[in-house]
Amino acid sequence: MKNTASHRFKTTSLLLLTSFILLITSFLSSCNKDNPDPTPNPTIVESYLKFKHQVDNQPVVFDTVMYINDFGNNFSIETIRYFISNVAFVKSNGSIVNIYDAIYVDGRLEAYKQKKITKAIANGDYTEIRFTFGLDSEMNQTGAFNNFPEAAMEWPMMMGGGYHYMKLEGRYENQNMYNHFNFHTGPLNNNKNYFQVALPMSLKVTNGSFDVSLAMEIQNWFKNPNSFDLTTIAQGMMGDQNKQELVKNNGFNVFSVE
Amino acid sequence: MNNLYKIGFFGLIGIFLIAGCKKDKVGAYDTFQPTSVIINYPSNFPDMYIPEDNLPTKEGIALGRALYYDKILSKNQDKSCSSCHDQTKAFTTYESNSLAHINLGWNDQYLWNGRFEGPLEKVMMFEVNDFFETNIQLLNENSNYRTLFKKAYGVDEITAKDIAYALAQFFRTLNSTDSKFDKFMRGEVNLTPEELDGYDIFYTERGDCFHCHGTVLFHDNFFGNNGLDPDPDAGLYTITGNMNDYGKFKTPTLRNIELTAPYMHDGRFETLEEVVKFYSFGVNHDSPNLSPLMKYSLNGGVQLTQEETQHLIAFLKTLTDYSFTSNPTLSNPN
Repeated sequence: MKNTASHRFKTTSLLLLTSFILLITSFLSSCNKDNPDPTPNPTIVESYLKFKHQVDNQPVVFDTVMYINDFGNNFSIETIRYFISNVAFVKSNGSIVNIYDAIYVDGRLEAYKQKKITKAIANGDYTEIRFTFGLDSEMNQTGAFNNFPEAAMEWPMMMGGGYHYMKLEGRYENQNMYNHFNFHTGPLNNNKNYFQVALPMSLKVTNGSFDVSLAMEIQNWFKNPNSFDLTTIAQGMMGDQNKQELVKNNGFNVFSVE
Repeated sequence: MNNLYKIGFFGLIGIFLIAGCKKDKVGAYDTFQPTSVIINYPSNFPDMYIPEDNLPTKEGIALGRALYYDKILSKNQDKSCSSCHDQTKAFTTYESNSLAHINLGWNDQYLWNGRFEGPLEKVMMFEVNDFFETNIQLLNENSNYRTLFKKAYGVDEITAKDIAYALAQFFRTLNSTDSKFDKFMRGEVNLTPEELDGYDIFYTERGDCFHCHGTVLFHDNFFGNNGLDPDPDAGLYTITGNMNDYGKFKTPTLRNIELTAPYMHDGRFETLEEVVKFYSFGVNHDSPNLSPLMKYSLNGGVQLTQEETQHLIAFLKTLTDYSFTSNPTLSNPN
């Protein structure tokens, strides 16, 4: 009797265990539709284009007059917002891979200091990144960006319409006085004012994804080839093509790939 | 006995399986059929942010509208939203100078100091729970509201969330998109020479209004210190605790600005003339964290002449939207 009872107990336990496993299996499979497909899709990846903003090779500290530019002005940075567009990588064999159309960057906001790109690119060695600083004429149409924060880059219709390419703002000190500077670049009437940047890089892509950081050295906006005295160039830039041109010519050297 | 045991056990499995997928089941809302509504607005406006759990319905909007105008919303039944926010004044309030209820469906930051971020539902929860301290029991005892909430949200017991959500739905219809300036941009009307000159002042560095008050919403969705005082009110600092935010306030929309006096966060200016005079000559250059966009602050401001001032004001008045201030679908339904 004892053995039979023990046998029954074991049988019941086995039945319970089996049922429990079945329960868990059924439970999981019944909710299967909520689970992601475990099979990886090679065309969808998590790539990042990251943006770093530096002064004197150090991450920018906002809102404090603590830097000295090439001309000798003490200055601070309060705003750095800009567009880059037509971003492309160039392979060692010369083929060009388009990465993204237009990217808005805000140096103060984490959400706008990196762009997540999900489309996989071809594996291989990439030796160059190219982009337009600003928006090309086709993209730069009023109404192209209705949502914030991009919408707030609006460039007035009477100056040609579209969007600011860059708002680099801060203050400078001069003989115990301070004033603001506003480097606002954009298309002034028939002058496009955007420019192409091409930077060497060494990127080996093996799984369709990448993680590339672009660093902007803010000091370079104020020098090379044009050393700016902020007391003379700080204001009235939007409507002054000469100032637009001077700033543009400094812009070719502000970026590097990290 | 064993069979009964097994039946009971597998019955339990069945219950578990059903309960395990509870999130997929149709909720209590399956017993009502509110009518979906699409909120129409011009294509040059931003995408309106509408949470998935509060999509606009005819019943929800009507309920929010009824609440907006009903003093039952307040703890002592002595005030409603409309007690202060007057439609004929573009839903502004003279007494407290809180921001006007214009185009808030496109906002994600609320109140002058930015106390709330997110969808309208979030700030409406504050209005119900803290500002009005709504006596929700009173609404539950009101058979008319019980019916309206049942129709809009399928609920038998009204909660603060239901009230906030209904208000948010109505707020998403308080949209001003058809001023004279909008008609001008669509090529339907002309501006007078004075208005056109004001338009030029506004959108160039002559007046440089557009950097903060640009976009179709006539604000930039940022905070700034415009230099009202050498020792300003704290503003955004009270929320962030960051000294670099001291003195910064939310940029208000300029749509219907003609109707929304008094001006500034503390309502210090009664007229647009006073406002433009301030931006021309009264900006305090040494105000902490003064916006870099106050480009001419060293000289007190943009220094518009009397004629330019009048032209700029003439332009600002083209932002008045009479179809908004007289829209019958936004008026008191009670």
